Amino acid sequence: MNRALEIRPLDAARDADSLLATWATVFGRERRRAEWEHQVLANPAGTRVFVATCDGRVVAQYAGVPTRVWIDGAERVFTQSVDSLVHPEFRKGLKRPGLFVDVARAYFDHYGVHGSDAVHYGWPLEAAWRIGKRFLEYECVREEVVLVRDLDAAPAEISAPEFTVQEVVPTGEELRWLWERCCGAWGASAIRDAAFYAWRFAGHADAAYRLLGARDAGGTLCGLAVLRRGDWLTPGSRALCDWLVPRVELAASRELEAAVLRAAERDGGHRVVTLIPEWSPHFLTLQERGWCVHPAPYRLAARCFDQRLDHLFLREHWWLTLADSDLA
Amino acid sequence: MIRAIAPDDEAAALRAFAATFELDEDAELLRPGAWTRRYFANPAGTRATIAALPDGRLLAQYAGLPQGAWLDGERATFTQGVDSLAVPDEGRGGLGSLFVRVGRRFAQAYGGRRGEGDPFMWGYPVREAWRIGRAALGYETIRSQLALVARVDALAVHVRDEALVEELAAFPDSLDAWFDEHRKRYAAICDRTRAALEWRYAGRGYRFAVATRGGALRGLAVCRDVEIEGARRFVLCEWLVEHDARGALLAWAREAAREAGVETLYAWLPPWCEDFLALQVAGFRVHPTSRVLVGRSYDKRWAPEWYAENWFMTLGDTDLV
Repeated sequence: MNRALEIRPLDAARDADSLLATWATVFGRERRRAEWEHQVLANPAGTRVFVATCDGRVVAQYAGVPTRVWIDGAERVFTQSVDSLVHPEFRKGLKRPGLFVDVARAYFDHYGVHGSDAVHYGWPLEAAWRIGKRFLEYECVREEVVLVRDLDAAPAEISAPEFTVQEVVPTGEELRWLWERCCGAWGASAIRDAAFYAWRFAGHADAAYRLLGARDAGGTLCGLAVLRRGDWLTPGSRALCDWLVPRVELAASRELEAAVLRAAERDGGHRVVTLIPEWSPHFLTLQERGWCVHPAPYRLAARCFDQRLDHLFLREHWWLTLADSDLA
Repeated sequence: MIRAIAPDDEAAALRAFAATFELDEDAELLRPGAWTRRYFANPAGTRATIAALPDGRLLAQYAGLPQGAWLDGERATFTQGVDSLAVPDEGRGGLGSLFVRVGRRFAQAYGGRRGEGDPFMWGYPVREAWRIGRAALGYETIRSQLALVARVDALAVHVRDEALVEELAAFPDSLDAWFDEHRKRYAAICDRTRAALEWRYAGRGYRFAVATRGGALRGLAVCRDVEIEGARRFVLCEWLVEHDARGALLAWAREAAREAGVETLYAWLPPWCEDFLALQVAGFRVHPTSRVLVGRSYDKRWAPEWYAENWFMTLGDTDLV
């Protein structure tokens, strides 16, 4: 095969139909256009997609989901790699390393090497990991573990609750204030503001989430949890996608956690699963409340474009939850 | 000159150690015979490459502790990188440094496909070594090391009456046959044979016990109180146990910790192994550590990340305790 290929940033108006058709061919299922537009075009942090086209048809893509991250007193962009694909016709007959790598290299050069993104990361499948490690400078940050709380042992009733925990729609000001109370203890964190939450949870095209907030007697939001409805990973598992609780708010944390477990149980769940960095005090606090640590089928990989950042920094300082992923 | 280390390099090696690491006078390595034991009495062999001047002065070293191992059912040797050094103002200096050249020679000398060399080398480098190793010596991150930590008084131990625990002064002959069965549940594991454990632990202040049921060996624990991760802990250096002897062996470890006056038990186990969860149920909590496990594979059949999911290892595999 010796056909002229063009590798370039996505032109949504021109490429969308063709991209979604190739998507269906590669993954064997349709991707709803609204869901694609939401993830790729509506992200408040921008769009990160490179495509390869042949005779106007999209035959490969390397894509990412960018996030605004607060790090070292400044705003940067971390981008999660997602949904890379190569049309089956273009996997054959090409010299190694192949079209996948050609598109990925152009993508990384554009957004990382010559662009402003500080880190690209993801949880690649095994085949993508092997190629990424060999050709694209992927490196392992850690093998993920998750915290799991079985619901057969119900949480103890809280005799004198100090907080009112209920479903909330936090205002942008509340969200930003709560995140700022948390992020002082974090070296790097995606900015949890109204735009991010609206895009990530409220407007999600495929999944539904329940936001539970703990308010004190004065109505101040002191903790926020995001629970995904429906099964995740295994039947009966419910994903706790975000956990925004200042470390000093122990009572709010306890009451919020109890509410999360009750909500998961009412949703038919048998256990709750969450991803919280091991260095966080919450990682230990939740264990003290009956959560156990299990291995997860995910390897966090990253490529850093800023020499001041490396994988050890990410491992030890980056606040990362399922909210920062497209996993749940 | 870059070459393999020899027994008569001891004095020069210890001088280089002292210059590099500011060893205390009572450091274990400085005790009579300790260096020779570490490098030349290991039943799995010797792995060390040095750069030395004609007058014998040692400028840089890249060394490892080899371990007999089982890798997908066949014999292999794994090597833990240890004691690597470059004498200040002599062997340091970036990617083209003497240290890197010695490290590369070490890799050429000892790394190789299973049966031809060591298929897997691993370690827990300090931050500076991690950076150099990653850039110049092929280190890859395998996992962030997690620890299981329990307050002795918080342990919920369920002892099954049938399991008997006996603290021993020497490893029993029955160990080899038991290990030869036990090791089959893991795709990769380093030897816990009598010879390997004798070299590793005998006469060095460790306490060890076995659990039996009906006279049959069901578990092995080797413990020691030691300073690790900034605190004094009672470390389960070895922890190989069948589920029906776990409680009895844990009860022994708890009492041994109390006798030592130590408040916490401490262990490293792979997150995927049965005891990682079982010990949490008994009261252990999972803590982060400052360590990152890195490795380099010399046999494409087993990538470094494969070891994260398949290699059973404990703190006893390391030289940290």
